[in-house]
Amino acid sequence: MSYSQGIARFADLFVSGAAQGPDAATFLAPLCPPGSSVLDIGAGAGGTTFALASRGVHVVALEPDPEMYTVLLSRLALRPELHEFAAPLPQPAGFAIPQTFDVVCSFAVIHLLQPAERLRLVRYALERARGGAKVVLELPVASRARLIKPWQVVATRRLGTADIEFHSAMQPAGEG
Amino acid sequence: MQRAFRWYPLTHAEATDLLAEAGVVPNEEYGGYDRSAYVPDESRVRLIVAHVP
Repeated sequence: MSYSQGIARFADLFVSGAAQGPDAATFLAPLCPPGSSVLDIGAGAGGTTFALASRGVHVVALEPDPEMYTVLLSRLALRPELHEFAAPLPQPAGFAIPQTFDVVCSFAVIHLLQPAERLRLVRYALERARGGAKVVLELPVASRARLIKPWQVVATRRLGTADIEFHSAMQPAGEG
Repeated sequence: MQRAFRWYPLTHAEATDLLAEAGVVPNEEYGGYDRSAYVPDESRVRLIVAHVP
């Protein structure tokens, strides 16, 4: 299982103002009122999980990538008010959790997986959803909005007296 | 420091096939968290909500 492979080193980008977690949580809000339960498959740095937990939603957050899971735990340690609501597990889709959920979701994960892993994740999402529940899946898709981007600054940080710039570049990788 | 990671956005057809093979029937479909309409080959994401019977 290769969620987040190599991405944890860029975790700072996912917890910045450009992070998608709160937006995803806002999207989910009508589906999961306070007190409901959510399974977040591939929770990453915890953006969506934390935003839901702060609204009183009980979230089980699966994140199998060891580096990203460490980021998730570190951030959660700083939010004791969420500990009652957020339960992180270092597990992938397929983990035999003895519970079903009101909402099962996966954001910004499927495009990181190989085809067999994608199918496993989607089937698992269905399995873990109880009757009457909702499955919410974000499928990043190829489109004209995803043109290859040149080398550019995507974020800046100040670390002590140093200004840090994050640059990114994209290139086609071919099949596989 | 330089790092790289790989990601594979699905084509519209691949996404459709994945959902069908897994037995997911979308009840709602959006092109983003703002619930904008999903437009194949235009939207960056295909965001689906499936109601489980």
